[in-house]
Amino acid sequence: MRLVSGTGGTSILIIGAGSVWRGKYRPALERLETAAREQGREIRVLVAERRSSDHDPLVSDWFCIEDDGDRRRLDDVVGSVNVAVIATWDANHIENLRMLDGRVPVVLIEKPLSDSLTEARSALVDLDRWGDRVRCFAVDHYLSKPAIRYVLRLARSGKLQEMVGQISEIRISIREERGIEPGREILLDHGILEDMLIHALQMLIELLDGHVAGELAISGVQTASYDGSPIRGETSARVEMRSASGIAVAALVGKGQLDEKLVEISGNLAVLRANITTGRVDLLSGDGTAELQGEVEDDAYDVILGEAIDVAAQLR
Amino acid sequence: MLLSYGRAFAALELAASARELADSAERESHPAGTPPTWAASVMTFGMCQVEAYHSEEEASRAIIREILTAAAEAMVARGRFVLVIPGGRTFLRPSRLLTTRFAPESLLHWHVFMTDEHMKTVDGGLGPNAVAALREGGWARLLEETRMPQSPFHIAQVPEAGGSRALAQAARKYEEDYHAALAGTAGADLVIAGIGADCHVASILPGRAGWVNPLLGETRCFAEVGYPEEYELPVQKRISITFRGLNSARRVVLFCLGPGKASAVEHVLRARPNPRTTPASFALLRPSKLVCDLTCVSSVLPD
Repeated sequence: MRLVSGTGGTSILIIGAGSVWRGKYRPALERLETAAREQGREIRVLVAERRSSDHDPLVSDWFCIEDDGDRRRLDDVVGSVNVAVIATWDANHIENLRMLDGRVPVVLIEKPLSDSLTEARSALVDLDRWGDRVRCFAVDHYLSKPAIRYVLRLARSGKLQEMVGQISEIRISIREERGIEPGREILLDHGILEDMLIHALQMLIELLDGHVAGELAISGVQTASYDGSPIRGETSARVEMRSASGIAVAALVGKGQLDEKLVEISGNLAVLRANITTGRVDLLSGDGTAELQGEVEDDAYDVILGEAIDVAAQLR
Repeated sequence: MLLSYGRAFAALELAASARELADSAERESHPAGTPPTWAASVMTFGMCQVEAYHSEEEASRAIIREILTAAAEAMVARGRFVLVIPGGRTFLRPSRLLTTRFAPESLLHWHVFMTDEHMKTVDGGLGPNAVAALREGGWARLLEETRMPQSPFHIAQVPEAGGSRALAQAARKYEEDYHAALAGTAGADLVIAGIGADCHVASILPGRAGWVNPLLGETRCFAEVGYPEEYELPVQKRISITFRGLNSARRVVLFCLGPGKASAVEHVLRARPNPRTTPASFALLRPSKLVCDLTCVSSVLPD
């Protein structure tokens, strides 16, 4: 599916035809497309990628390539797009946001916003300049995973504290069996898995928001660098923090380790354990284990795109 | 859930702070190759530090950390690393991790021995422990892939026939190989040993009714042993690391997994240390470590 023809529906532009598009957005869009068709709506999807310019083979430009091989310059189609997803290399996100120049009303930037905090701040200037014309969102897909959505609902309704009691500790572990791939070592300049750490920190911030006033203070960082590790592709980082109200929080992230993606929230009554991979959420207490949510298929990107389409519809 | 652009800054800023801290001197205190892990419980019994992990997988990875740390120290200090690994099936999981994930070129200066082998050949001159380590532990594949001029994996060649004398010859050969690898140093850089249900360690079983295990007083590091008939073992004759071999090691780590070992572990940790009746209790009498999963130490965990 590269182009769903039709008018009157929502047009979604994906900038970047790499693994994020192939592995995450395309499957979700195919499901959304089917659902939309059943409801008599249409979703039009364009995928833009860098190719050599028509005029100069040494200069590249963004094009939308259609199934029959025809290509259209991005500038020629961007005006008719409702939602743009910037799914390129982290360092190019801001550059591509500027390329859109406020012409797309809803923009999603795939994680993380940038590999530079300074550059990310400077992007706010552009957003201010575009004013109400553009709604820009950062995509942290972990927040849309079924297990995390469930826990966030509990947290925001006050039920989380009813279940676990006074929260004393939150632990987040995001570890993957797959190691750092050759050529991606640039991500590890500081021995920290920046990408995965940001996911863990964002989840902590969202989880604590409903309960704790004040900021998180980092009390310790332990890292293992890729270069120094004799295990191929392995690296990890552990960051310990404390909230203003004294909750101990810790994030352990790693690649090339066991597959484990868990959030554990401990209170004086019980421990809530959310398995991000399977979607299952359990409450562990002295009475045993209670299953709050069973295993659920991951629909994080369906939810993200669905919300973006809704926002775009409201802006029309 | 869509995240407002401004809200995403908090995580970016925290990550930047973490990065700054990681770049500070604190990072220097953590040797390369020892990534952080979460031990669910850390306790001390005698001179033995007990680290219990949430799962068998976590415990297996923790034992790999022990190996990597010891290897890093040994390579810097002596340019070679002598490791003794358990002969039983419990260690096959860590062995697979080690042989599939470790950069093979790093093994060039390693010497790996097994704590014990049984006199029951299952493949030419190979005993069941060596065959399991080679096939299921991944050593055979690793050795084949890397085509090293000299195998780092030292195998006790147990005799197919010939009785006690032939076994004694095999033990002497293994002892010679071991000392050649030690190159004048007193003992291995790291010995990892399992704990048996009767509190045995390696193939050092508890004495019975006046019979004292000769491996306790043996002056060699590896020796042959024949257990009396009343032990009713599948294999009576074995080659095993001795008490001297265990105690002369720079570092000793006991490793066990699963609830089936809980009773033995409790006995080893709680009873008065007596290597004659509880061989694994030697670990309480010298600086050592026990790495296991939580089910192994369920009866000694603090309330």
